[in-house]
Amino acid sequence: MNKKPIVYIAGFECFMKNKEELAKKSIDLCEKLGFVGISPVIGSTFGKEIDFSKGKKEAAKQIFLNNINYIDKCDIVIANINNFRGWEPDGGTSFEIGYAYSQGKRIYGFMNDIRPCYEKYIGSINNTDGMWRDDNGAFFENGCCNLMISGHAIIVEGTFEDALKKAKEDLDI
Amino acid sequence: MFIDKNGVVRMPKAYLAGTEIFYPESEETQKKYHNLCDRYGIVGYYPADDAPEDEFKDYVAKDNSVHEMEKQFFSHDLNHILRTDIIIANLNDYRGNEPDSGTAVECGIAWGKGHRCFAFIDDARPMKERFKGVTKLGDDGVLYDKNGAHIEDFDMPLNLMFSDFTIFEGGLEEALKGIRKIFNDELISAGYQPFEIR
Repeated sequence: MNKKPIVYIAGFECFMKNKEELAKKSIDLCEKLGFVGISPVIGSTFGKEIDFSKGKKEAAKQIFLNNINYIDKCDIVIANINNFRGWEPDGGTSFEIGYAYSQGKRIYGFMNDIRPCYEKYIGSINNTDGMWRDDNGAFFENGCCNLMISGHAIIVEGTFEDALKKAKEDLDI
Repeated sequence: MFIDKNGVVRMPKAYLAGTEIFYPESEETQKKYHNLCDRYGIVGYYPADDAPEDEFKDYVAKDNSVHEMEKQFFSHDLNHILRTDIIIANLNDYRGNEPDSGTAVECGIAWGKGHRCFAFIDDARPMKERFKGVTKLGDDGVLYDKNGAHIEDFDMPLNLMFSDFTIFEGGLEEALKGIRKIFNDELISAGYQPFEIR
């Protein structure tokens, strides 16, 4: 391949204090393995300067559109789908996976533990009707994450680096 | 009735994304949601609705393995999104402080396919105010959760990736009321009769 595939780095790392450091680490890994990484934390030349003068909501919309633009430019999305503040991945990351799917992008999701959700769940759980349910009665699907992710994305147990290595292998680069 | 992207006045079809399907009372909810949508002049597609006879064919699992079943259900839900014009998503917190990821993925697909995007949430105050859990104000003036992840401060109840969604406080009915008003205002300003709530 002449042109290096572009990877959009999705995940809740953007909420961490050391987000720049984490983003740089992922971008460096991309570079090392033959990809170009784009992180919404660092931004790229495809992004526009955010104008905070028109209020927070307007700024949010501009950041949203920048992220959409980065996904449009990428070939692959590698998403951190580990649980965030509970038992679900970060909602922004999930949205990005959906958007990327709608645009025909190749999607990888990585997580520390790919056992079924009902095995990983720490909390009260019961099975009286053939389905594992939480205390509110909501059942657990049988997969390692919601099937709206695992029904199409390539799921890798491990880290961003593991997912990137899998992508390298899959794309034969 | 609504005015679609091509300027045609017709019944809007809405994909009803949310966690309702995970609960034992899902079948009652399905009926309730259909009736509600009908009252507000919208055709509701609940995720568990059978696929109608049209051009969108569901993937058929090759065996009973988890992954084959996931692919089948994914294609079923995806097709419901593809055959609708708008999405109305239940983006309440689910098993923690984030919305259900399946619903959030569906929102991303719908937005990407050009749907008009709406959501409802019980508490639509900004995330900083509605956050349930331990928070800590940092020396930098930023609010953090117990793990040191900052809580978004964009005057929005949800992650900024939902910033193109019109968010209503309440349940499906409150959302439908709001959406009907938007559609009726559009109909009236284009010289059409508004839809009368049944």
